[in-house]
Parts: sequence; C-alpha cells; structure tokens
Amino acid sequence: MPVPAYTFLVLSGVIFTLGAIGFMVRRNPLVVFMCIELMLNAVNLSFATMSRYLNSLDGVVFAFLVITVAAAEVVVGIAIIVQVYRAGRQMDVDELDLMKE
Amino acid sequence: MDILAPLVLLVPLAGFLVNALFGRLLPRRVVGWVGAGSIGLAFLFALLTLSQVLGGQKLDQTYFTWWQSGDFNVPFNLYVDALSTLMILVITGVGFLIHVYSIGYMREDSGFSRFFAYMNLFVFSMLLLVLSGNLLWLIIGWAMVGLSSYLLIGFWFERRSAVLAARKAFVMNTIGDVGMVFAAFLIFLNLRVLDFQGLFSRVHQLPKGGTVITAICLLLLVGAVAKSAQLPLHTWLPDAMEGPTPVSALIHAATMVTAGVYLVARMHLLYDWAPTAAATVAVIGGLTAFFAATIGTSQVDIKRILAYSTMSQIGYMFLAVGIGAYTAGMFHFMTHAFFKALLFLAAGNVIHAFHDDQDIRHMGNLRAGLPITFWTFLIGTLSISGFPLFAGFFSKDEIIRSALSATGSEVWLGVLALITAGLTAYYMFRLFFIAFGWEWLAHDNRHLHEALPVQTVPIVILAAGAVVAGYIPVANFLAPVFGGAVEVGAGAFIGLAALSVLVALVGFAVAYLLHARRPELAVAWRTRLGPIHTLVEHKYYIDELYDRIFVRPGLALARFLNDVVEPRVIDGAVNAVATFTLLEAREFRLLQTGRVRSYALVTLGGAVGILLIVVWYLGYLPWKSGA
Amino acid sequence: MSWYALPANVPWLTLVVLLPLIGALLVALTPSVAGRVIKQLGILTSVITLALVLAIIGGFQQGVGGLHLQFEETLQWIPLLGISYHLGIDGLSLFLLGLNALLFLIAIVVTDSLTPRLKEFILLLLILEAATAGILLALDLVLFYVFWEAMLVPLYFLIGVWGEGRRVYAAFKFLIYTVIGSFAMLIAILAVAGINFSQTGQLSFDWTVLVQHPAAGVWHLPAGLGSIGIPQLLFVGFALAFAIKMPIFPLHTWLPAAYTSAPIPVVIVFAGLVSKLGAYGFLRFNLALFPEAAHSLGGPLAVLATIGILYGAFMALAQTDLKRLVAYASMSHLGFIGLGIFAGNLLGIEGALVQMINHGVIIAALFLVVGMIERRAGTRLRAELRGLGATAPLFAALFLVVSLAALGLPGLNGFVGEFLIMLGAWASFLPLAVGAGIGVILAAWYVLSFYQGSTQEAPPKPATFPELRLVDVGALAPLLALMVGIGISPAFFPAAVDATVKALPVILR
Repeated sequence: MPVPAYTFLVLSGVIFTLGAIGFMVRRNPLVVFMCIELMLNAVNLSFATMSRYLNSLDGVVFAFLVITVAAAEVVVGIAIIVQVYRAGRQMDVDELDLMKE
Repeated sequence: MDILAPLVLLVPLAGFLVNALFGRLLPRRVVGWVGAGSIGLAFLFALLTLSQVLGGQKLDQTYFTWWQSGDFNVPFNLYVDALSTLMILVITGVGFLIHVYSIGYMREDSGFSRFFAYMNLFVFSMLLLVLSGNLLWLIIGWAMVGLSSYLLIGFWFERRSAVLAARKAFVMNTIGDVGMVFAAFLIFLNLRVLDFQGLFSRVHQLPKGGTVITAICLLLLVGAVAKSAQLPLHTWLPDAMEGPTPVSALIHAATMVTAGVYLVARMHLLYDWAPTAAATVAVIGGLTAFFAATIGTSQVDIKRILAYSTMSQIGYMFLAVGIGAYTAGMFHFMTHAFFKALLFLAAGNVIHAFHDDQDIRHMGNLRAGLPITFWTFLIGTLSISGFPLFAGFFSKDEIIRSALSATGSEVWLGVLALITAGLTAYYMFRLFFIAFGWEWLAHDNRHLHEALPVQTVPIVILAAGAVVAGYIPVANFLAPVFGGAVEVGAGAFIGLAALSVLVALVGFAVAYLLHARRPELAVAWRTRLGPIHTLVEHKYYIDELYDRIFVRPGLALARFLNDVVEPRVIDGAVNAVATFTLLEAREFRLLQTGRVRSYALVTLGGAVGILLIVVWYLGYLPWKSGA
Repeated sequence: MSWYALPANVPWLTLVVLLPLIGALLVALTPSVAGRVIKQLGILTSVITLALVLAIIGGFQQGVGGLHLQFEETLQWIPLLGISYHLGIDGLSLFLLGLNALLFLIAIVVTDSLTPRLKEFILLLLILEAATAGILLALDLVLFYVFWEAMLVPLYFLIGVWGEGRRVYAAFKFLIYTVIGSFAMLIAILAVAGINFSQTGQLSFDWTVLVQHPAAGVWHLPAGLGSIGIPQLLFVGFALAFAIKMPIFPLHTWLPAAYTSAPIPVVIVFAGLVSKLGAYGFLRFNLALFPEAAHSLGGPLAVLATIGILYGAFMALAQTDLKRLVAYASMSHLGFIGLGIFAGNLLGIEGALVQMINHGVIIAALFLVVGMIERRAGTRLRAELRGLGATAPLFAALFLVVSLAALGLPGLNGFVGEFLIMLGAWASFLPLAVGAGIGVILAAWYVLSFYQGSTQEAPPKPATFPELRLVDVGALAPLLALMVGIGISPAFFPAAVDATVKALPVILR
C-alpha cells in the first residue's frame, strides 16, 4: 500500500510546530536559529510531498528557493551573532534589544 | 471726425508721457508749456469737432475690440454728439486756462514736472470718460480720473494729511466704481449689450419702472454720488483741498466732480425709464445742495468754503437731471465751470500772497494790493449768487424754475433750492467780505502784491466767461440729445426770476450786515446758535460717524482674524492634527520593544489568524469533509 | 496665435520639459566656485525655454485639433495598465506655460549671486521649472501625478534650506499638507480609470479618453448610510488636492508660513505659478471630467472662494510684515480665480483663466518690490519704513503701477479678470458677486495702505534708500508691460482660449 500523503504532511506540521515553539521559548540565539531552520525544512518537506503526490515540479522548485533563502539568511544571521558574541554581549535574545525605540 | 476724436484724446496723453518720462530733464519753461500746450491743442481739436457737430454730424466709431467672447462683445469706441462736445470743450477750454495759471502758481515747487504730468493724465482720463461709447470704457475713464485725483490730492506726499485725504478719496471712489460695475453687469445680463448705441435702442425692452431698470439706475447713481461728492459719499471732497489750488479748480470744481452729472445725462433714456431712481437723484441733489450750503456758512478755510460751495452747486445739477431738466443741468455745469474755476484760482492768488495761509480771518482789505484778483473774485461771487445778468443767474434760475413748475413733490425741492440760493449768496458774500474786505475792515494788507500775469490773465478770461456764458444758447445746442427746451410763459419767467433775485439780495444783505458793517453781531449770533453752530461747523460729524461704523470695526475685525482666528482656530485645527499624529506615533513606538521574541509571537499569531480566516472563507475545515 | 505653422514632426512640448533639465544637468556639472557661470547658465536655459514657449504660443491655432489640443505627443509607457506618455496643449494651458517660462526667467535673474550653494539652488529651480511645465502639458493622469509629485521635492528643499525664519516648519507643513491632498487625488485617479474600465471595458488613464466617457453611477453605502454619487466622490478627491494647492479657505494656513519663509526667487514662482496649478487642475480635471458634480458642488466651493477673498483682504489689513501682507493679498486674489471657476459659465471661466495670468504677473511684481525694499532697507516691517518715494522716485512710480494693478484699477490687467469673474459670478450666485465687490473695496484700502505707508510721508525711514538699478527695472519691465498691455487690449486672450472653454463639458450642459 502506498504511503498516504497526510502522513508526511502531519509530520511536516509537527516539525513546524516544534520549531515555532522552540523559536518562541528558547533564549539562546543559536538555538533560535536552529528552530528557524526546523520551520523552513518542515515547509520544504511539505512542498516535496505535494510535488510527489500531485506529480508536479512546482513544489520542488519552491523548495529550492526556500533552501537558497535559508542558506543566505543563516550566513548573515550567524555572522551577526558571532559579532555580538565578540562584542561581549549576553547570548540572550531578550537582552539584545538595541533596535528598541 | 473719426480721426479728430482720437486726436483730442491722444494729445493730452502725449503731454502726460513727455512730462512723466522726460520732465525732470527738461527746463521748466518747456515742461509748463508742453503741459498747457497739449491741452490747448486739444481745445483746438475740440473746436473743430464743435464745428462738425454744429453741422449735424455725430460719431460712433469702433477702433479695436477689447474682449469678444460669445455675445459679450466690448469694443473700444468713441461716441461724439452734442453732449460730449459740450463736455470736451469745457474740459479742454477751462483746463487750458488752469494749466496756464499753474505755470505761475507752481513755479517754485520741486515737483513741477510731476504736477503737469498728472494734470495731463487727468485731462486725458476725463476726455476718455466723456468720449467713450460704451459703459466699460466709461468705467475705465472713470477710474483713471479717480486715479489722477488721488495722485493730485496727495501731490505733497510728505504731508500726512494729504496722504490720508488721497486714500480716503480713492477708497470712496472705488465704492462708486464697484456700484457702476454692478450696474454694467445688470445691463449686460438683461440686454446683452454694453455699448451706448445698443443700450439706448434696447432700453425700452425692459418694463418701465421695473426692478431691473431701477436697480441699474440706482447702481449707476452710487458711482455718480461717489464721484460728485454728493450725500452720503461726500466726505472726501473737503479733505481733497489738501491738493494744490489749481487741482481743486480743475478737478474738484470744474470737471471731475461733474462726471456724475454727465453720467446721468448720458444715461437719460434709462433714467426717464426709471422714475423712482430719477426721483432719488433729484432728492439727493436737493438735500446735498442745502446741506453743503449750511456747512459753508461756518467754515473759515477759504478752500473749504469753496469746496462746500461746489458740493452744493453740483447738488443743483443733480436736482436738475433728476427731474428731467437735463439741459438746465448741463447749462449750470458749464456756467459753474467758469465761475468756480475763477473763484478757486483767485483764491490761489490770495493764498500765495499770504504764504499759504488759508484762514480767511487773517485776510482782508485786498483791493489795493491784489486788484485784479479782487475784482474777478467779486464777479465770480456775483455770478454764483445768481445776480441778474451774470451767468449763474441764468443757469441756476432755470433749474429752480424747472423744479417749481413741476408737478408733484418736486415742488418742495424747488423751494429747498430757492432757500439754498439765499444761503449761497450769504456764505459767498460772507467769504468775500471777510477775505477780501473793503477799506473799512481790519488788517493792513496794502503791502501785498498781485500775482504774475500768467496767473491773472486766465482768471480774467474766466471772469468774462462767468458773465457771458449765460447767453450761450446751450438748450438749442443740446436739443438733438435731450429734445427741445420747455417753453415757459413770460409771466412765470419774470415772477420766478424776481423771486430768486430777491432771495439772493436777502443773502447779500445779511452777509453785508454781519460781516461788513457790524461784525459784533456775527459773534453774537454765533453764541446764540451755540450747539447748532458747532454741529454745522463739524460738518454734522459725519466723518466721525463713518469712522466709527466702517473704519474702526474693519480694522478690529482684521486684527481679530489675525490674532485669534488664524492662529488658534484654523491653524489650531491643522496643528492639532499634527500633534495628534505625533501622540499616536508615540504610542505606537512602544510596540518596538527590540525584542525578537515578542516580534516572533506577534508574527506567529498573525500568521495563524490569517490561516484561520482563509480557512473560514474557503469553508474548508479538515474535520468536516473527507481527508 | 496662428501667425505661422510650426513643423509638426518636432516634439515641441517634450523639448519644453527637457530643456530645463538639460540646463540642470549642465549646472550640475559646473564646479561650484564658478558662481557667475552657473547663474548665466541658468539664465540662458530659461531664456531659450521662454523663446521656445513663445514660438509655441505664436504657432497655436484656435479651434484646431482633437478636443482643441495641439502639438500632441503620445508614446506608450505601460500599455498593460493603459498608461502612456501623452503631452498636449490647449487654451487652458497655453498662456500658463508662457507665464511659467517668464516667471522662472525672472526668478533666476533676481537670484542673488551671493546665495550660499548657488549651484544647488539654480539646479533645483530648473528641475522645478521642468516639473511645472510637465504638469501643464501632461494629458495622462498618471503622468500628471508623477509631475505633480515631482514638483514637491525641489520646493521642499528650496524653502527648507534657503528660506528664513521657521523655514523647516514651513517647508514641512507645506509638504505634508500637499501630500494629503495628492493622496486623495491618487485614489480618485485610480478610481476614475477603474470606473471607466468597468463602463467601457477599456483601461486607460488618458484624459482624452476619460473626458469622453464621464463617470456616472451611485455608490450605495453599506449599513443603510445612504448613497453618494460617484462623480461627486471623484470630484472631491481631485478637489482636495487642488483646493489645498490654490489654496482655498480654510485649507490655506500653509501659505503664509511658506510664502514668508521662502526666498524671493522661490516665492515668485511659488505664488506666481504653482498656486495656479491648483486652479488649472480644477479646470482640466474637475470641470472637464465631472460636469454634473461641478454643478452640484460648485456652489459650496464658490462660497469658500468668496470667503477667501474677504478673509485674505482682512488679514492683509492686519499684517505688519510686508511679505506676509502680500501673501494674504495673494490668497485674496486667488479667491477671485476660484469664484470665476466655480461660477461655471463661459465668462466666469474665461475671466478666471485670464486672471490666472494676471495674478501671476502682479504677485510676482509685488514680491519683487518687497524683495527690493528688504534688500535696500534691511527690514520688512511696516513700522520701520516710510517715505521711500522721496529718495527713490522711480521705485515709487513703478511700485505705484504694480499697486494699481493689484487693486484692480480699470485700465490695467487686474480689472479685466475681476470684471469677467464678477460678471460670471453675478449670473450664477449674485450674493457672492456682491461679496467679491466688497473685496475690491477692501483691496483698495489695504493696497493703498501698503503703498502709501512705505513710500509717502516724511521724514523717510531709512534715511538712505538707493534707487533702482537697471537689472531691477529689467526684471519688472516685462511684468509692467503685461499689466498695461493686457489691461488695454486683452482681446488676444479670448481669441486663443474661447474654443477650448466653450468645449468644456460643464458649459455645454
């Protein structure tokens, strides 16, 4: 019996939720980034699934886009965090409020 | 004639341009004679026009179009008939004499060329006014006459009193201008024309005595009243005496102030068609004549007395044209131009002799020192008082006669005019006795000397006119415009003539008694009439009244708007919007906590919310339909 | 006007917009130290532009061309959205274009060579000239909007950097106020095109297309609040932008601040031309695209215009600063123009059109005079000035002519417009015409107070007041010539403009 689509989608949803919760709850910026990656990949999974089950390449194309964006974002984000660390600030998301009005 | 008419106009304009642009570079002699000569040349052209008009010619010639859009077609056209010919002859003739006089009178003034430039501008404007063939160009001439008057009243602009007098004259004239413009609107919107030819042929389309025609005539009357200094827009005229005396002679005696009379006469077809308006003209004229005469009895400034006299005499003219006696009104205009100009110019000689003192109580006993001025002034006084055989007698008498022989309420206007005639004789002779005196009066002024010939010759000519002008057959000349003269029986003629002579003699006698023989009686009477005398002396406090009603509230309103309404109300609303925006912005700023986690929460919450809305709208809920 | 025919394949109108920009580019490339060269470049550019505009005016033929537009140029821009680059000129914009070229030339000529950062100043002026020309020539609504917004940037800097007093406040207030109006106009533009699309199936922002299918219909508000006519709504959208620009009472409070703070060359074009663009907008869009709304909403707008006449006059009476006085006088005169437009008849609108030119000429001259006084006496306060005519008679004489034109003396140009406007108003709203008449009397009062208070009485304050130089007389000369010329013989104006005005839908109804 072929694997039904919803299993992958449910998995995708669960991973996304885990990532979202982690993003909101954790305080270490590196962990927050990992959660972001979780969310992005969950979405990728979802795209790939639909692409396979609808026999269309559109989903996979989107997945490529997402991966590219994720990669770029990670590069910039990690660079910022490293600079923050080197500047001697706390590795705590709540303390990094320099953009506050 | 179609070249002649514009020439009459353009020569004074050329004089103005020459003196305005180059006056300061040219020697005084040239400036003076260019100024006077241009008017003299215009007078010659006017005489040529006269000869053509006497031969029965008329002119209504368009030279170019001013504005043409739809049926609003306003040309620049000139209209020459007997009426305009009479006007241009008086304007250029008397004007020329006054210009010549000015060469002597203004010879020591630093603004000599400026004076002649303005005077020529005035003559040009006045000619434009009387020659134009449509209402719009008449208004342009009207306004430019007002401008020249403003420039000449305020000629000695270093004096605050002159500056204010000029402004007052101009603003009051503007009120008149606006009235005339409104009349033009009514005329165009109802008759679709503005030129005289078209207007006169279409007037009868309007219902006689109806609202429209009455409104038109009343609005035109506003303009006439303002320009001719009749009640209630008269207060500028006495103040206008701030200007040099030749200005008072030309503008505020002979010509500009008579423009209102000309207007009513020119529009006689309209006024014939609107009896209520015509009656208003007559009433205003009669009342002003009386009113001004009473004030004239109490003044001590020689020019002011003459100013009120002018106001009074123009009242006569208004009375005449108001009751339909147009020819009588224009006749008086002509004679008045002669004797009033004469009186003012002679007064000018006296003022110069006393080094610009105009108070008559400082004068007297001038027969030996200024003989020519003395005798010519006497002639003028006799003429204005209506003594028989002088010009004033004929013209004033005709007006009184027309009023008294009319039916209806005009009769009491005639009575008023008669009483005013007596008053006129009184205050003019009062002026003569106090200012010129005879040997028995005080002040040894034998050392004073007469003015230059260039100042005395014109006066003599005018004096001749003040006698002879009464014999000019004006009625016949103007018949093509106004219709024939009304026949009067010999009995009525002599009866009324005797009456007016009697009244004049009474006035003369009282003046002689109070101011020549027994001056102490004059003082006694003045004390007895106490408050009345003060009232009259202060011109019935009308100036003060206008100040209270119009000037002060106007300025107060302006200050109120500037200090309260603009900054607090209107701008307050604008700034309130800005302040409100800032306050809101300050509140919204609090959202920017700088914390990633709160942003994340909001983002997530929003995403979930949108998802729910989408699902709601799609009507798709996973647990409802099949997987 | 139709004295000759210009060759048809030359993009005359684009050149008019382009020339100032080319001049701006050349100025930008010139080093800042060469102050005189920069100013001369500016003058040269505007002279050539003026010559070009005069050539166009001379070659204009009345009544010719589709919708009476001539020298049209059309280029595709964004065909998908129906937006094109469409320029054209007709009776409404013809003489305003001339005024534009003339006033900018005068403004550059009187710019003080010692102005700090002269290069940027002239640069911005030239860009502004291109923008205002574009506004007058654009026939595509989006193109119009682009030019409209483009006008704001140079003006903001010109006031905010080179101004005086509370200049930043003034510039800011002007900017925000205008942008609010522009925003309403933007929505209306989009709506007009959208409604046209739903009614004709053709998406176009072109005025020539939209004018042939006037918007109609009614919008029923939800929750039973009633219904609003769609043309009325669109009318209001455009009207807000133009009413703020003119300005119309009570949306005027940016004006005194902006005019008083701006330097003289800027205020000459600001008061002389930019304010007319609001009036032009009313004619081009409100009256042409929404004729029925113009009839129903014209009344209240005419009332506001008349209130503006009287309000401006009274405020002018109360001012102690000469520049501020002229600012309020300008507002009062613009009220006349508004009254003529909203009277909605042939004579009123033609009067408003000619008065736009007249007002531009008169107000530019008045501000020039104020500038002359300030430069020589060092002050603009009435209390510190007196009797200047004694030491500078030529100045007093020219000042007098300008004052007489300002108070509408018959025989000078101000009277021509005022007469026609009041006549048109009398036919539509009699009481407002009477109000305008009162405004004329008030004008005589405050103008004479202004003139006499400065030039008359003795002793003069300040004691020395140098006479005018040749360049001053030269700047005033064309304005004075127009004042007298248009006053005596204005017939050329209706000859050129009649056909366009008669074709305005608002009159045909």
